[in-house]
Amino acid sequence: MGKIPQFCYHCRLPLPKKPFTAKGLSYCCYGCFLTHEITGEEGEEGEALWLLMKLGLSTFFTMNIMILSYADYIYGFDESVSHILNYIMLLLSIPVIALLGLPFLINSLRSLSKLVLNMDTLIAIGTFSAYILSIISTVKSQKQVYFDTASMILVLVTAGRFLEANAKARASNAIKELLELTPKEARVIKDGVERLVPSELIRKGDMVKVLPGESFAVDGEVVEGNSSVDESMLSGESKPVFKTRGSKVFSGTINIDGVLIFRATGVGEESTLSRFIKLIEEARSLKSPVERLADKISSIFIPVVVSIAGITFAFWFFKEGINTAILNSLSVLLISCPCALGIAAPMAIQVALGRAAKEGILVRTGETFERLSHVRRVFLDKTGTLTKREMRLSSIFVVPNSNLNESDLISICASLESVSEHPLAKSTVEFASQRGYPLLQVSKLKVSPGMGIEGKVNHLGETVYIGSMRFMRKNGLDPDRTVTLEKERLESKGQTLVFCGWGKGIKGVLGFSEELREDAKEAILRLKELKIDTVILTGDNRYSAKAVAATLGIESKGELTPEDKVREIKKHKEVSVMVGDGINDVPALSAADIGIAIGCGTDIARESADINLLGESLEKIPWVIKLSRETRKRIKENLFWAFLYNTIGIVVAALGFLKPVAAALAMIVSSILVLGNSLRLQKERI
Amino acid sequence: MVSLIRRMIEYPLVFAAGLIGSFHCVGMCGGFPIAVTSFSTTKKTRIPKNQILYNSGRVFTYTFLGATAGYLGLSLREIEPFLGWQATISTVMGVLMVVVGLQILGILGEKTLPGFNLYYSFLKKAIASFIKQKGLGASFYLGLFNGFLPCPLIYAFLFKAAASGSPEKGATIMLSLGLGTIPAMFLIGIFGRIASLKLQGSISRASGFIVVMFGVFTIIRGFLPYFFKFGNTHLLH
Repeated sequence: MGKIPQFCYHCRLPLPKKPFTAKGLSYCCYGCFLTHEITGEEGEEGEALWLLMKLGLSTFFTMNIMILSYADYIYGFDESVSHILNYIMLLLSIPVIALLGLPFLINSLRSLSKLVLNMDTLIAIGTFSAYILSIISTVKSQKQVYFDTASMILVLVTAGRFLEANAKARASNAIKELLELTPKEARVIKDGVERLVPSELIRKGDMVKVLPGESFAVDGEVVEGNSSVDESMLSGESKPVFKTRGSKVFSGTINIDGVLIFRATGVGEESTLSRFIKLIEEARSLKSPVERLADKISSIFIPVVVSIAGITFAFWFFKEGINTAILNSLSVLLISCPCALGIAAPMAIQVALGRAAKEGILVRTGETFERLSHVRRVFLDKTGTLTKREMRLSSIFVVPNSNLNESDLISICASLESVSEHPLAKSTVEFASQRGYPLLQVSKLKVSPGMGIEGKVNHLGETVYIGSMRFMRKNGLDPDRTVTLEKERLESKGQTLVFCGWGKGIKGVLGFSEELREDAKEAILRLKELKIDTVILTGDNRYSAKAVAATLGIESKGELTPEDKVREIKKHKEVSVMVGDGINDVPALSAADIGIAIGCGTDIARESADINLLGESLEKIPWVIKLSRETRKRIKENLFWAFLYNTIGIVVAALGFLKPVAAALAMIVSSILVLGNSLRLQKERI
Repeated sequence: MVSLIRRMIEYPLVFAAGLIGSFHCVGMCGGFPIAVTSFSTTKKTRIPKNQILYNSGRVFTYTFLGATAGYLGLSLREIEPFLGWQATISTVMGVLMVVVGLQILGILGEKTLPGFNLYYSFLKKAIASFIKQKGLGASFYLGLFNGFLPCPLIYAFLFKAAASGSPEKGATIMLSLGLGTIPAMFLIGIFGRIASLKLQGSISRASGFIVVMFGVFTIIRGFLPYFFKFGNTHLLH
C-alpha cells in the first residue's frame, strides 16, 4: 500500500512524468540514480565501491587515451607506429566503453523503447557509432580513429550527470535540514521509568522528557518545568520563547536551558514540522509559469536540435563521408544538450522557496512566488500587523472631584480586569503590577462581551463598571463636561478609551495607544527602496489610522468595513499584496493578488493566505519580495545565457568547427554556470 | 642548442618551484596523504605503497592536464584568427600567471565564477568516497581526482604549459612541477607535519612570488622572437 512517490529519491525535486526507476525507487534522472548509488548512505558498500572504481578506472584509461591521441594528431607518426598506437588505444578504451558506455547505452535504449526521444539516446548512439567506426578503421589499418572522442565523451557526460544530480540535491538542502531537526530518539517516561525510544514510536499521550540542548521529537503540552525554547526554525525569529506548564511545544524546536516534561499531542505526520515540510513540498510540486515556459522551450528545443543534427549529418555525409558526418552531428547534440535549460529555472525557484521556508516564510506555490516579483503596491492592515496586538496604557484621567488618585483608580480597574482575557484588560493589569499598585478584593464579577465588565469592589461596597461609553450609559452612568472634553481630546490623538465608574458618575478615563512593531519603520523604508507604495487599510477610526500613518510617513485609509477594504484593493490595477494577521481580514487577503498573513505561528496549516509568515517580523515582507525579484533575475539570466550559448554552439558545431570532446566540455561548463547561478540564491545577501 | 640548454635549466627550475610550492599544497591538500596513511591498518611497511600510489595518481593527472594545456595552446596557434599570434598568446598566459601569483601572495583578491563551488563540491564528494573506501586502488584514484582540484599553483603552471604550445612540453612542465611536490606531500603523509604552521605559511606565500617570476619570464619569452626579428631587420638596414 505504498504511496506513489512524488519526489526524486536522491535530490527530492518533484519527479517528471516519466521518472527513472531502479530497484523499486524513483529518481528524476539517471544521474540522480548513479550519484545516489555512489554517495547515498542507503546504498550497499560493495556496490558503491564498484561504481566508484568504474568511474576512477575509466577516467584513468581515458586520460591515457587522450595523451596518446595528442601524440598521434600532432606528430603524424609512421603508419606502423600509428597502427600500434591505435591498437593500444583500442585496448584502453574497451574498459571505458564496457564500464561507462554500456549502462548509458542500455538506459538510453530503454527510454527509446518507451518511445521517449531523449538526447541521451542520440548521444549514446553517436558515441557508439564513432567507436565502432574506429574499430573498423583500426582493423582495416586506416588512420582515422576516434577512441579518444568516444571515451572522453562518456567520461564527461557521466561527470556532467553527477554534477547535475549534486546541484539538484543541493537545491533541496533547506528541506533536508528541516527533516534533520527532529531527534532520532527521545526520553519517554512510563511508570516512572525513563527510557530512550525511537521518535516514530512515540504515541499521543506519552510523557516525554527533554533536557537542555535537546530538541523536541513531537508536538506537545508542557506538564512540568520551565525553560526557554528556540523556535527560530519554525518562526524565523531568533528570540527564545519562554515555556512553562500548559505551554505548547513543537517538534524540531530546541530546548535551551531548563528540563521540560511534556505530554505528546501531535506525533508523526500531525506534528507541526511534518505539516510544515509537507506544505513546502506541495508548493514545490506545483510548477510556476516560468518553469512551464522552460519546459515548453525544451520540448520545442529537442525536436529542433535533432532536426539540425540530422541535417548536419546528411550534409557532411555527402560532402566528406560517414566519419565527419557522425562527429559533426554528435557535436551538435552535445553542445545543445538542454539539460541545464530544463533544470535551471525550477531549481532557482526551489532554492528560493527553501530559503524562504528557513526564514519562516511559507509560500504556497511557485506561481505566487513568481507573481510576488511584480508587486508594485502593498496594503497593510493596522492592528496586529503594523502594531503590536497589545495596546499600551498611555493616559490616565481621574475626574477632579472624585477624591481619587491614579493609584486608586488603577487598583480598582486592574482588580476587576484581572479575570479578563481582553487585551486592554491585560494591559491594565500589567501596568498595575509594574507600578506595584495593589489588587483589591472583588466579588460578583460579570463580563458583558464587547461592552465591559462589572463587579463589586469589597472595600468600596459598590458595584464598579469598566468598559465602553455605551456600557456606561447602559448602566446609568452619564459623562459630565470634563469627561466629555477629555474623551474628545484623547480620541483625536488616536487612543482607544475605557471608562470606569460607579455610584452616580464616571470616575476616570483610561486611554490606550497602539505601539508600532519595532521593525515597522525599517520594513516600510525597505519597501520604499524597492519602489513599492504602501497604504494602511484599517477598520479602526481615522484618527488612529492617521496617527500610525504619520509616524511611518505613508498613506492611510481608516474606518473601512471589510467590503470597503476589498473595494479599495480592487481599485488598483498593479499587482498588489495585502498583509494582515489573517484573522479579520480574510476577504481582503483573498482580494489582493497575493495575501500575506503575518504571525501565523504554528497554525500554518489552517491559514488560507498565499504566503504565511510564521513569525511577526515585518521586515520579512520586503525580504521575500526582493528574493523573488532576485530569483526572476537569475532565471532570466539563465534562459538568456542558455539560449545564446546554444544558438552559437549549434551553428559552430553544424559547420564542423567543433570537435565532439570540446562540445561535451562546453556543455558541462555551460551547465555548471547555469546551475551555479541558480544555486547562488542560497547564499546571496537579500 | 640554445633551446636544449634552456630546457635543461627550465625544467629543473619548475621542479624547484614545485618543491617550494608544495608547502602551499601541504596547507591545502595535506589532509589527503594523511588520510591515505590511515588506509593501512596493519603494518607500517604498507604506508609507502599507499603514498606512492597516491602521489603517482596526482602527478599523472598533472601531466595529463599539462599535455592537454599544451595541446590547447597548440590548437590556439593553429586556429585561423590566432595564426602567428604566438607572442600574444604567450604574453596573455604570462599575465594570467602573474595574476594567479599575486592571488597566492594575497595581493589580488580571488574571484570565483558561479558554479565553481559545484565543480569543487563534486570533486570533494568523489574524493570523500574514495577515502571511505580505503585500499590501494582508492589511494591511486584519490590522487588522480586530487589532481583535478582547483589550485592556483597548478593553474599558473598550466598557463605556462599552454604557452609552450606543445603537448609534450606541457606534459614535461607539469610532470616536473608534480615531481617537485612529491617530497613534501610524501613526508606529511608519513609524519603528519613537516614544519611549523608559520614557516609553512611563509614558504607557501613565497611560491606566489615564484609564480609571478615565471609569469614575467613567460611574457618576456613571448616577445623574445620579436625582439630578435626587429633587432635583425634593424641591423640589416
